This record gives sequence, structure tokens and C-alpha cells, in this order.
Amino acid sequence: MTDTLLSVEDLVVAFPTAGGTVRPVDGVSFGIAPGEVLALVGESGSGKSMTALAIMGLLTRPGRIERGRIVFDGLSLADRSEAAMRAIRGARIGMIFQEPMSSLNPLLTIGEQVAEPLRVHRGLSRAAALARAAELLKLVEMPGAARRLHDYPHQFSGGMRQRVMIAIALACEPQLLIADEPTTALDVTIQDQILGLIRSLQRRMGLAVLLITHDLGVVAQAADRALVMYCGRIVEEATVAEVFARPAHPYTRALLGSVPDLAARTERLRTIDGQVPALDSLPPGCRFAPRCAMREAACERASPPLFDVADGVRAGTAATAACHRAACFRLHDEARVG
Amino acid sequence: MVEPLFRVDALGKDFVPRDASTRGVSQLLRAVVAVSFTIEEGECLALVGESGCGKSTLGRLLVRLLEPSSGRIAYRGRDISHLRGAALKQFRREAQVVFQDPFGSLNPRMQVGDILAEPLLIHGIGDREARQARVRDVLQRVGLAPEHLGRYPHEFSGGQRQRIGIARALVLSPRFVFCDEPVSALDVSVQAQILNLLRELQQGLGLTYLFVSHNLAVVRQIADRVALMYLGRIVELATADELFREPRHPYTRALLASVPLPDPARRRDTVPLSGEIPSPLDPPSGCRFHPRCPLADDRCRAEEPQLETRGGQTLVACHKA
Repeated sequence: MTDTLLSVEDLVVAFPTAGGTVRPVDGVSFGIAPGEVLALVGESGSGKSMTALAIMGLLTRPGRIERGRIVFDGLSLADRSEAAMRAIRGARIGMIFQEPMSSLNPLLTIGEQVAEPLRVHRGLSRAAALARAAELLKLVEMPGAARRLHDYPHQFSGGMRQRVMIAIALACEPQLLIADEPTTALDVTIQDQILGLIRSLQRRMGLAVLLITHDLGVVAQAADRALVMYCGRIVEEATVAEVFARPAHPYTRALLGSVPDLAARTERLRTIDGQVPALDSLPPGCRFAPRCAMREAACERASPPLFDVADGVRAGTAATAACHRAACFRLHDEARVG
Repeated sequence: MVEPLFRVDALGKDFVPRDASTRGVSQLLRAVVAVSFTIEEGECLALVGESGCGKSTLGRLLVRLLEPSSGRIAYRGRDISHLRGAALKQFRREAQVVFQDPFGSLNPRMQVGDILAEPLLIHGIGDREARQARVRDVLQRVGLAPEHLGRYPHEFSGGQRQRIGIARALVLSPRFVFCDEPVSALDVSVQAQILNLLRELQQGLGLTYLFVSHNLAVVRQIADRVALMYLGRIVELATADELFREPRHPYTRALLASVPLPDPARRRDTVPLSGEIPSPLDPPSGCRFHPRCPLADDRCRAEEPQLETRGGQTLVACHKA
């Protein structure tokens, strides 16, 4: 299919533990179109970062992909060897993480680190790679780019380090950028600058972005489409405009309701009762049911699939179309009754 | 006139950087520079600003985890700037702290019951039975159950651990609590629970808060007044209603405009503030904000503005406000 750059089908990530196998990602399917910014949003333990690591082949042992398909531009990634993954990572899929300092080598200059993917993947000479590195630092709007090539990571602020990471990630002109909480460690004015930079580069280069974040403000400001995750599953999928205007899943609604308002003081902030269940003691039916104000008997028996929000019909898997779906039996019931 | 709970006058705190001698810059890191303000009994004053602005240092000075380098802190009319020994311990009974990271601030080898009884023991309050009664009472106040007393910190979620941190701060029945980024490490649904709890406790117990946060939406939900800091100085001090309705300082305006709103209909395509915060080791001349300020002129580059009223209640340190 030409309108899907990355498709993930029924992905399951398993970790063996002393108490049995846990599955932090449990049956996740989605697709990203070329040039699209897709946000994967959820709270701690939702499985959003684990999904990204699985796509990149960076799961730490003993974690592994137990089931599912990951297809990137016609190539199957889930069963690819480490050597074969290395040819794709950093070349065709770029990555940036929350903590730029721990991703950079403190002993190498910034220039050498931006040049490295060009030498490894493109076979450029040292001089040619450094010249291109200077251009890339200019592209990420680093003040005095050429002059700073010879500086070390500790000489940069957090915001500038993240610009360096973006330059490294984009050095080989990838088709997909995976950004895992890229602005979480940054101050709000710097966060704004980095999100603005990612958006402008994404448009200019026609880049697809998988943006992993816990921050609904970041989703609203930077993404085209959003997947809401809870306990290893996707509970809602829609365009960003739809998710915020007409959230369909009770969890999405509760999550949006608990975001503090900047405009006015509210009498009592809305909260979600209880807490996220542990992976080794998940409820049998819908994983949100124990905390859901609208749960019915059926919710505690079976796990709801994704339904089309408009007509309550069970949805297919992994489409990139701009449709709105949510994993809640109420949608199905309402459609039948209505 | 009622004496404020805290009266802070020209307070300053300098640190000597470890490698100061090797740098070609001024020797001192001036984390807090000549700040003056009051905290009234029963209010919540928020200190807001980005990394390195001095907000946490200022909070630590007020509860005397740090000693000031200059200026004066009066607590209920009494100078506490350089208290030591028994007098400092007595002050700490009334001024407690809730930390950002509840895991890092709870001893992993102690049961919750012992963690909560420890402050009472240190201050020699009550006998064993009275202490246990107090611990149970405070535990219930923060929404935990008696069966939690025998458990260890690792057995709790982040939100529950923060409830334990709050209970420990309250067990001595303080008047004043310094809340240092108390919800920053929490997921948004849990953050709302803890904010509601902090508001209830403040009302129910008549507490005074100094609430340090970098999150303006969180501050909007809890603060009565807000002091905005930039590079060690307060640049604007106003009631929360005023500050969010009509921010006066260009930095306040830029900061408010930078907050990513959870509303795709109000998406911005321009970045409100360029540049980065300069190093506090080598702050700019004149107004510290001038290199990033769209309104800056020659006077701003030369002369440091004082925090003063420009009509109305709001205090602002800006030549252009």
C-alpha cells in the first residue's frame, strides 16, 4: 500500500518475570502515512515507549516481540536481524529521546557525532561529513553552527543538545522520525522552540513523525492524528481535532478532563478514580473497567475491540484513514439502540 | 496591621561554583538576588520560573534548609535568617517541606508508620500511643488507610507516595508548607488528585503554602498570588487572577504564550520567545531579560528595573510595563 509508510499489526511485546510473562504492549495495530505526525499518547505504563522500542528493534532482553508484524516501506522489521536493523536505524528511521545528554557521547565533539551517521550509512569522507554536519546544525537553527562543530556536549544547554540530536536523526534524510518525549525534560519556552522546529522540518522534508508523549498539550499543538494507549492497548484513534472535540472512550474523556486549565481556576479538578492496574494483575475484560464510571457487566467479561465511533461497527485493523475509533462496548450498544 | 507570616527583605543567596577559579567569569553564582516580598497567613504564594531561575533556592531559604548570603527573613516578626541549633529546630516544627520526588525523599527501609512517626520522635512529641494516634489521623487526612502503616515505600504508586510525603510534612501540625514541585513527577490524572488534596488540606487546616512549580496551569489551580522569577530576581508579583488575565512583564507574557494548550483549535505557528536563559554566572547588564525581550532599548541594557507598582496591585520590574 502506497499510503502507509509504517504499519504495525497486532504487536505484542512480552517480558518474562518471576511471576509469569507480562505484556506491556498487547495487540497494538496502527499505521503512519508518509508526511504524517502521529502522536502516541498515554500515562506511565501505557506501553507507548515500549511500542516505539519494538519498532526500532531496541527492546532490552529478555523483552521480545512475541507476535505481530511491523512493516516499514515494504520491509518487515519484526523478524529482522540486529545487523539488518542497524542499516535501517539512523538511516531510514531517525530517533530522538527525552534525555539528549544520555544519548550523546561526552567524549566526542558535536561535529563528529553529527557526521557519524553520514560516514557509516552514506560512506562520506571525514571532511565531507563534517561539512554536511555544519549544514545540518544550521538546519536545526543552532546559533553559530560552523563555530560550534568542535564543542563537546557539556558545553550546550538542554535545548541545544536536543537540536543536536535532531540534526543527527535527520542527517541521512530518513522517511520516519521516532520522537520519544522529545521535549519533556525542557523548559516551556524551549519546548515551544523545539516543537516548532520539529514541525517546520517535518513539513519541509515531508517527514513522517511518531511522537510519543504524555502531554496532551503537545499532542494538540504538534500532531495530525493521535492514538490513546492504556495498559498496553489502543483505546482510541482519531484525528487530533476529533480526539479533543469529541473524545469517545471514557478514559480519553477522563484524561482530558483532568488536565488543569490555564484560563481559569476550577472548583474541583476532575480525577480518575483508583490507579492503573499492574501488568501482572490486569482485569479480565476491558482494562479500564475497574476505574470507569460507565462500566457494565459486559465490560468486566470481555475485552472490547475498536469500534467505529460513527456507526458502532467493529473496525478493521491498521488503516491510516482519518477515521475515529474507540475500544468501548458502549459505542457498539449505543449504535444498536440508536 | 496584621504581621505577615513571612517578610522577606533584599534576600540573596550566592554559591561558589566548584570550578570557579578556572572560569573567566565572575566568581559567584548569584542564585537569588535581592528579592523582597511577604507571605500572608493562610495564602498560597506560587513561585514560578524556568530552570535556574532561583525558585527552589528561594523556597529552601525560607524553610532554612539554606542560610541566606544577604538580606533578612522574618517569620511572624522574628528574624530567622541565621537561626541555629534548638531555635532552628523549633522553627522547623512550624515550617515543613513536600518534595518533588516522593521516592527519593522516603527512606526505602522504613515502614510508612515509622516514616510518619519519625518527626514526632525527633521533636519529642507525645508518648508512643499519642504518636500512633497522630500518625493514624494524618494518614486518614491524606486519603490512605491504616493497613498502609506496615508497608514500605516501594509498595506504593507515585501518587500514594506523594500522599505519604504530604502526611510526613503535616504530622507536626505546621503552619507553613513549602511545596517544591509536588506534582511534577506525577501523571496528569494523579496530579489532579494531589492538587485537590493539597487544596482541601490548606482550607481544612488553615495552612500557608509556598508552592514552587514550572507548570503554569498547575499554579493557576492552586495559587492566590504568583511571583514570577527570572535569573534570580522576581520580575512580576501579582494576584493569580491579575497575572493570568493581564500579564504585565514581557517575560510573563511570553511564558504564558509558550504553554502548549490542550486545544488543537488554538494551535500556534509562531514561537513566542527565542533565545535561551543566559548563564547566572554571567548575567546580562541592566534588565536581565533584555537580550530576549522584544521591547528592549538602551535604558533596559544599562539600568536594572526595580520591582514596583505601575498602577494597581501588581508589582513589575520592567521599564516598559
